[in-house]
Amino acid sequence: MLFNSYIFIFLFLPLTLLGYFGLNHFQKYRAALAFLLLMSLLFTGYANIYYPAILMASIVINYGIAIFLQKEALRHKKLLLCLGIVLNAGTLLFLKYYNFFTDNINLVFKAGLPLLKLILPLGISFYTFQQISCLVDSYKGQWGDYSLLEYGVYVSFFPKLSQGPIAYHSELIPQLRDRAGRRINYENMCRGLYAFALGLAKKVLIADSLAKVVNIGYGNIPALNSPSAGLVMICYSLQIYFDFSGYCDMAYGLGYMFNLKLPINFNSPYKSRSVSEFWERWHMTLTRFFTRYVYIPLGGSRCGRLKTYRNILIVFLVSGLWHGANWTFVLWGLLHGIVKVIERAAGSAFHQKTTDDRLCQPSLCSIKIPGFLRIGFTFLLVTAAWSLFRADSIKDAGMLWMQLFHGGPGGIYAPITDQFHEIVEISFLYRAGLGGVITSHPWLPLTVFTAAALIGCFTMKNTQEKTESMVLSVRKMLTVVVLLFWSILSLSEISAFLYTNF
Amino acid sequence: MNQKEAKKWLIKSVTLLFFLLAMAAGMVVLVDPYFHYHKPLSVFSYRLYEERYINDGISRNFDFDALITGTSMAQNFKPSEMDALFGTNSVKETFSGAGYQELATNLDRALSRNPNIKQVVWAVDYNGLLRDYDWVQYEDYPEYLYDDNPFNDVSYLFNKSIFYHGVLNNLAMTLTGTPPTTMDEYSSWQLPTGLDQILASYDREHVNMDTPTDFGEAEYHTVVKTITLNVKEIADKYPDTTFYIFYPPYSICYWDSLYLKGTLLRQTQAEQTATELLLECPNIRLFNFFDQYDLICNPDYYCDSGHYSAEVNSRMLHWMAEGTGLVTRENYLERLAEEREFYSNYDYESIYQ
Repeated sequence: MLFNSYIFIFLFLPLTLLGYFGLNHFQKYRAALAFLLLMSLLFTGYANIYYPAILMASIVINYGIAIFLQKEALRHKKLLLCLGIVLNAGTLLFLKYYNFFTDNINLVFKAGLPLLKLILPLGISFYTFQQISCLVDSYKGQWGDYSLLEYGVYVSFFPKLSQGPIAYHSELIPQLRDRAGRRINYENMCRGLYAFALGLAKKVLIADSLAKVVNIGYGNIPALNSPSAGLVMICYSLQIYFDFSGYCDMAYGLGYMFNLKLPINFNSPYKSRSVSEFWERWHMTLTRFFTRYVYIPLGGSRCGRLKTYRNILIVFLVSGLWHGANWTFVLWGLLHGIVKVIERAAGSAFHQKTTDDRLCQPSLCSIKIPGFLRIGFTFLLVTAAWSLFRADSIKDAGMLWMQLFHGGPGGIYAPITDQFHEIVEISFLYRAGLGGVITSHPWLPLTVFTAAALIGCFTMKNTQEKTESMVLSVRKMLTVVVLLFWSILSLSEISAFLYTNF
Repeated sequence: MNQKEAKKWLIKSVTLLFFLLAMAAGMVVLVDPYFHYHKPLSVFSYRLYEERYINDGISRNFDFDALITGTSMAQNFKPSEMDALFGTNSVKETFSGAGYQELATNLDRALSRNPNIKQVVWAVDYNGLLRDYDWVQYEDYPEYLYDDNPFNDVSYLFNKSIFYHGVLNNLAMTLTGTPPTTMDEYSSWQLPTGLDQILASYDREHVNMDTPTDFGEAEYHTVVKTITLNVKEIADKYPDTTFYIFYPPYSICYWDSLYLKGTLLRQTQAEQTATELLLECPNIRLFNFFDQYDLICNPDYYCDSGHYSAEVNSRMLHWMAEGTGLVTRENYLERLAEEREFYSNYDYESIYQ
C-alpha cells in the first residue's frame, strides 16, 4: 500500500489511528499493540498476500534467536549470531539477487542455470537490516526485555516499513512503552499532519510531474540533444530528491501522529558541500547502519590509510548493490565510493591530522572554496551519478552521457515538453491566457518548474525543522488543507490514450 | 502550542479539507462528465471525448437500441444517418487502436445492460485477424469506471484532470453557450486525403519483409480463437440482436503491402476462416466491401493506407442497409476467389505513376 493512495488516506490511516488510540483509551495496551501489528501486516499484505506471512515468520525467528543470544551461559553464541545474520542476509540475497547473479553466471560461463520467479516482499531490505542490528545488539548485551509483540510492532511499523528509516530497537520500543504516547496528542497530530501534507505534495505534485518528463527522456535517449540530455539528468536528480524526501516526510509525519518520533532520514542533502556530507544527509539511517555494522567491523579507519579506502569502497559497493540488483547500481555505488575516497585523500593532504574517524567525515570542508561552489559541484557530481541509478543499463547511461556532450545544440526534445504540457496545471495556464507564450516558448514551463524546484532544494528548510518550529496559525492551516486537497485530487489522472496509430 | 488549541486547529483543518473534497466530489457527481452516475443533464453542455473513459457511461446511462462500435474504422459513422436508414436510436462507442477483446468486452457490457439493443454495427479489423485473441495496445485503463465497485469511484470523484477537463470544461461550455458534442461528432475526425497523404506514412520501399507468409495450423487456430472468443460468443449470447459486421475496405496501398510482403494469400486464408465461423451465426450479417474497386483503388478517399474519409462510412451504411456486399454461405467462396484474383494480379506500380 502506498501512502499516496486513496485507500491509505481515506481508510487505512483513519482506521489505524482510531483503533490504536481507541484501544489505548480503554487501557487495552496489548490489544492496541496487537492492532498496530495487524494493521502493519495488512499494509504489507495489500500488495501480496504472502508478504505478511514472510514478515511474520522473519519476526518470530529473529526474536527467538535474539532471546537465545541474550543468555549469558549460552555456548556457541557467536555461531548462533552468524547463523542469524546468514539467515537474514541469505534470504535477502536469494530473493533480491538470485536472478541477477544467475544471469551473470550464465552470461560468463554459459551455465544455463534457470532463472526463478521470485517475489520480493515489501520492505524486506529494510526489515532485514533492522533485524540484523537487533541480533548484533542482543549478542553484545544491548538488548532489552522486549516482548514478541513489541518487537513485532517495532519491525513492522508501517510508516517505516517500505522505505525506512532504518530505526534501532532502542529508538522505537521505549517510545512504544511510554504511557504518555498512548493517548492522542493533538500537538503531535498537527505536526504529523503538516509533515504528511508537505511530503504528499512533494511526491505527488513535484516528483510525479518530473517523472513524466524523465520517463520520456530515458525512453528516447538517442533522440535527445545536449540541452535535453542535461535537462533530463537534472529532472531525474530532482525527481528522486522529491520522491524520497516526500516519502521521508510522510513517514516522519505518520510517526508523529502515533506519538513515535522516527529518526531523521533526509536532511536537505543537496545543500551538501561534499559527497561525504551528502551521505550524512541522504538516507541518513542507511549510512548509519553501514557505518556501524559494515565499516567499523571491517576495521573502519583504524588500520591505515589504504585499508580505510578499501573499507569505504566496500561499503559503497554493498550500498550500491543494496539499492538494486543491477550493475548500474553497483557502478553508482562505486562512483560514490571513489569520490568519497578522493575527498578523504584530498582532505588528508590539506588537513593531515584528522580526529574524526567516522565514515561520513566531510574532509573537504577544510579546503577554502566558496560554499556555493562546493554545493554546486557536489550537486553536479551526485546528479551525474544518478544517471546510472535511473538507467536500465550501463549502456543506456553511457548513451545519455554521449548525448549530453555530442547531442548538439537545439531546443528541448518536443515530446518532453509536450508531455509536461499535458499536466493539468499547465493546461490551466493555457486557459488563463498564457497559451501564446507557452506555444512560442515550449521550454519555458518546464524550465521554470525545474529552476523553482532546484532553488527549493538549495534554500528551503527541511521538514523536520519546519515541523518542530510549527506554529498553529490560519496560514499554516490553509497550507496544509490546500496541499492535501491538491495532492489528493492529483492521485489519479486521466491517462491519455495517444492517438498515434488510430 | 497547547492541546486545546491544537485540537481546535486539527478539527478545523480536517473539516475544511473534507468540505473541499465533498464540494469537488459533488461537482463531479452533478456534472458527471463520463456519465458514470446519470445521463447528460439538459442544463449542461457536454463535451464527448476520451472514448475509453466515456463509452462505458454511454452504455450505462444513455437510451438507445442500436450501437456502432469498432476502431478508428468506425469513428466517422454518423448515428443520425444510421437511425434514418435503419429506424434505430443509436449511439457510437468506438475505441481507437482497440483489439478484438477490448471491443468485445465493452460490447458485452453494453448488451448486458441494455437488453433492448436490436442492432450493432461492428467494424472487425481485417488486419487484426491474425493477432492473438487478447492483443491489446492500451493497458492503462480507468477500471474504476468499468466495474461496479462503488469504493474505487474515489479515483473518479477526486481526480484533478477529470475535474478540470470534464467538470470545468463542461461548465465553461455551458456558460459560453457552446453547443454539446453530438453523437455524430463524437470521436470523428477529418484529415486530408490523397496519394501524397498515404505515402507520408506508407513507405513501400521499406515494407517489413520479415512477416511470416504461411497459413498453417497455428495461424488457423489463432483466427479461430480470436473470432470465436471475441465475436461469435457475443453473437451467440445475444441471439435477439442483429450484428452488422464488416471488414473495413482498406486502400489499394494496403493490398500492395500484402502483395510485396507475400502475405496476400495468408491474409485471405485468415479471412476465409473467419468468414466461415461468422456465417455460422444466424444473427450476424457479414459484409465485405473488398469488391468496391472504385473506392479502394481511389487514393482520394484515404488519408493513409487503411483509413478512409467519412464519406466512405456513409456509403457503407447505405450499402449495409441495401444489402450490398452481404456475404452468405452461398457466395463467400466465389467472392473470395474473385478477391484473390483481383488483388494478386493488380498492377500496383500503376498507383504510383
